Amino acid sequence: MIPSQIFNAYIMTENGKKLEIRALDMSPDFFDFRVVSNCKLVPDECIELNFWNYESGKYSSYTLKSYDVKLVENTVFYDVYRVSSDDRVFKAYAKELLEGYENYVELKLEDDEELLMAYLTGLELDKAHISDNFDVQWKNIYKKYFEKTEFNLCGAQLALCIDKPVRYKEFLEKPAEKYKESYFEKYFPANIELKETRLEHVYIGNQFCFELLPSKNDIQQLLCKALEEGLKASFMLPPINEDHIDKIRDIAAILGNYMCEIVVNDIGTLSMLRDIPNKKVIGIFFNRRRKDSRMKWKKYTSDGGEAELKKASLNDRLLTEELVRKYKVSGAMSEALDYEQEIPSIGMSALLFPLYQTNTAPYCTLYAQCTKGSRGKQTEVAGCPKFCQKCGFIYPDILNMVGIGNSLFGICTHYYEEAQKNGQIDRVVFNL
Amino acid sequence: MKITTGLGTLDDYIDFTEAGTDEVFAGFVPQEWSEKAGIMRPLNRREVQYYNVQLGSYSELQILSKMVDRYKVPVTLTFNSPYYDPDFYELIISIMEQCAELGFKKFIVGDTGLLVHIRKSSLKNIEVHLSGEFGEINEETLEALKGFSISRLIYHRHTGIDAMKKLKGMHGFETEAFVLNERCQFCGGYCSTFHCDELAPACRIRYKAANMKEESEENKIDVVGSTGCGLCALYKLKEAGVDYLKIVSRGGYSEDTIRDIRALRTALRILDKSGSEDEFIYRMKLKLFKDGCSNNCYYLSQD
Repeated sequence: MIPSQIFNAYIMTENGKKLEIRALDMSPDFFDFRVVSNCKLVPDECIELNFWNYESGKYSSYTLKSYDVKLVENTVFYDVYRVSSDDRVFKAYAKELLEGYENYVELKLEDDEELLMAYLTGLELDKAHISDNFDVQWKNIYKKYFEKTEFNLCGAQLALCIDKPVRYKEFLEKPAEKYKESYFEKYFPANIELKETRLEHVYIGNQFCFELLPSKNDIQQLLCKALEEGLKASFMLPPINEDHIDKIRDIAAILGNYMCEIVVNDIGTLSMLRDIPNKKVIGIFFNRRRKDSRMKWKKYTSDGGEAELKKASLNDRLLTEELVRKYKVSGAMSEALDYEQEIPSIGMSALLFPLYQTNTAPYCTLYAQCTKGSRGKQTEVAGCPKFCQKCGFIYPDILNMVGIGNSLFGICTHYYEEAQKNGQIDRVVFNL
Repeated sequence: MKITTGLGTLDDYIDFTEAGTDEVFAGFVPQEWSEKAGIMRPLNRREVQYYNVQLGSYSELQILSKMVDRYKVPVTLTFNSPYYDPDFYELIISIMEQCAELGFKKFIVGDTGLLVHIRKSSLKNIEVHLSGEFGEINEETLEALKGFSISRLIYHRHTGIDAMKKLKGMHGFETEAFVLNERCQFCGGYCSTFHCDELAPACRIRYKAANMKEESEENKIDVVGSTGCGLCALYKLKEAGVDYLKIVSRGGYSEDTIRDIRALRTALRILDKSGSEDEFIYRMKLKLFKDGCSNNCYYLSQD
């Protein structure tokens, strides 16, 4: 059977409608198709054919006018027909399609994904270098992409993620501006403009891992500190499962005492927080879209290419109206990506940079690796020892991606000012 | 508990039915979608082109409808991408309407935006199964889901059985849990990377574990559930009130799926006759895994 997404056709039936069919078998001389029993075809009408073109990433359409069709099999449920043709264009398209398909099947049968990727996309991972740790990788990425960048916030606020225990401690111990300076000294040392821009907002908490949320006591201290420093604050929550929902109720009660935004990543928690006075902002797990650090190797794109990725569900007016009306959502977080995206129009908009999430495991993959020696042997975490403070998953340097805790992240290598210039971004949130 | 199995081609429908599945789920991607939306915007979670994983053309759907009339094993259609380009919601609804005209009125949906559009549409008397790709479900989610024609919750792969137990008592939805194959390391709903013909899923990219002991080699053996098995958990899943057990199989070999359905049927028969969890696991493993199982467990417990 030929996969329907690389070849299909339309034939005319007696009720005057075009019927979409697929090929059961094909050669440069014929193709077989089936229709439900007693479906009457109009044999003299043209057949519209669509062949997937491997190289161009588009369908090539062709109207077949000269052919023979005959019934080859009757079954209880369907009739099988054979269309035979000497049409040269049909032969050429069919030959090309079948060669491409057979080539793919042969590669698949090798059962070597890296070989397949290398052959079809040019991405060679088997020889790719992997640095020893992420600090080394980041230094190289920084040097290559950001050392000479002028970070112009175009009027957007500067914000930082304070998203793990070591940062909670450091933020509490230092004046906010000193914290900011040491952050940028570590990650963006050559970009004086960042060190000189006033920090206006902090994002406390974690969008990926419940275990990395601060304790109730620390939450209060951190939010007080932000207030004292004249900073606005948001509190980030990950997607919440049933095991943690009661603890989130406790946290929500604390947050209700502070006028901080809450970043929410699942609709249940959004529903639960609907009536508390804090502003609700939807996080990155609501703003789902295609994210992959191998984007530039993606070959099979049609005319639109990356432009086909520009919009996602959160650009839908009906959905955003529902979120605003029902849950009083007042903003959304996006992530800086290596392609242009349409920023959701849902109030305040914050852009996380440079890390963008690509995969997250509810049961920590890092915990599984450290406790059971295999990333796949995931269980609920008992008394999380915060392995993520010391360990991680390091990927081939060529990919600009990293594994932190229970998630994989890509690293955006462009700093787009367009969205900021258009006034679409209210805050740029550094999340390294 | 009933069995629901992934169907990649209608040619397998009768065989799967005769092997003992109670329901099948399948993807339908018409050419209209492929042409207008392009391959970067998949209609469901099978994002490949060079595999036979979709029902494909409308004529296939017509034939399948006739088979369902005869064999009575219902078919659910997957529209379970985690997100869609909003310019295409209207087209998706139109495709669903075409399916509904042929009697296919159960849909698996993973995107909140699509839920909102289905509710607004003229699609009536349909059932929506909330996909595992939707993401985390907690008791508050149940409240939020009212009014969306949802009749079933499909737990994502890493949902704890205790959580399933707690949730079951709080709602009247059917529930479905993964039980065989493709135990992904990451949650489907939070996986944003390509799963296409030419790029393997990101979870399979080579990596170095910095400051950790090296990954132990997982021995791949050709047994039921070699890529993910929850058979030992059936006793607990039953206690948790799970209604449907999911066999992931679209894109796999038909013979393997038939083997999986039969194995799961056997396990369920043993479960019915077992007085305790230990007895069930012992007898099930004796029957199905004499030479050892894959050890690639869904619902792995801490100990």
